[in-house]
Amino acid sequence: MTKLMGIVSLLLLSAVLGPIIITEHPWSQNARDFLLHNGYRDTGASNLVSAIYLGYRAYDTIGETIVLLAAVTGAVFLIKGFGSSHQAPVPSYKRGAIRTNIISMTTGKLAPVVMLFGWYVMFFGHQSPGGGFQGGVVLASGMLFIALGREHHKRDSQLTKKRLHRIEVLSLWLILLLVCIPLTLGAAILENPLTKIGDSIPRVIYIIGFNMAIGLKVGSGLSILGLLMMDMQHDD
Amino acid sequence: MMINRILLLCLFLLGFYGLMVLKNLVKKVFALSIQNSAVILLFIVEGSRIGDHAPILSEDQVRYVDPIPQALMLTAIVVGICVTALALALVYRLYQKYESLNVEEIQRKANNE
Repeated sequence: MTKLMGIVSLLLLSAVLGPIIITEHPWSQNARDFLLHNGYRDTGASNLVSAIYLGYRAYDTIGETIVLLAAVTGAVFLIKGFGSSHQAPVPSYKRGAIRTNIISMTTGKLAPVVMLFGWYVMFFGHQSPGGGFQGGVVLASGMLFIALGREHHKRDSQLTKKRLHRIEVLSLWLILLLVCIPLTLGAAILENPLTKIGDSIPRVIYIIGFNMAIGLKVGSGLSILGLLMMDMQHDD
Repeated sequence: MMINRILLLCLFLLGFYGLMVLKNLVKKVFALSIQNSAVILLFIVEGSRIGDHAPILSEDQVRYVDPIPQALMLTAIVVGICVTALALALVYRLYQKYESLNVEEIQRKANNE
């Protein structure tokens, strides 16, 4: 019965969505051409995607980082906040059954390389494919590699959720600081403040700072989420 | 490129079907994630219709793709990850409380309380 209803609703939905998705309406080139001619001058980033999300639409990016913070807070609350009174203790032989020495070794060697790549993606987001969000995700996967391989020395691990949460909140403050800096120099909020100073300092520094702050925020947030889901029974 | 769009429509409908019909809550969350991916891919395909180079400025003038859908989908990807993580946390709570991932069983147990 549910399957029949599912198929009927699929047919109805495809009748609605089909004409929207399968259309040959020509795509407008105005926005692309505008960015092509003004993007570099306005923001200093030759990667036009970075120019949009850190220049023209930086306000969206702020909201997005706050969404990430809300999701992390909500997940921490849902998983740990209610207390673990009525959850069955997992037998110790079950935990760590999937973790072997091979995994510890491989992840331990790979993690620094992955994290270095993450920092590269963050630093060069203004002129190559990449940026804060992408670099942050790569950074978080490096952190999760370390977490996968740290089974044997879990007790004295420096990689705790509390510290990561502190990094996340600090980077949110950094983002808010970067939002407010333009006001002190007489620019509008979120406008690139270095346009007011002149050409002595490259404008792209503002974009790089934003990329770093966002990368730290996304990296620590996703690391917290991953750690939460990896060892849900543990309290660090 | 018509075939791209038809496949994307199929992917979206597949996610929708999973969301409606499957009983397992984790599978529902992943169906939601598939729908999200279909929308993201649709926007990328749309934006790439007016060019064939990544939108990174270089010396020679080539036909760039539209960077705006890419910037929008960057936001959509992050929000999609947030939604998936939060939904999985909710499923985890439900599993802790009712010890089942089946929607109907959870509903039955919740009604009996």
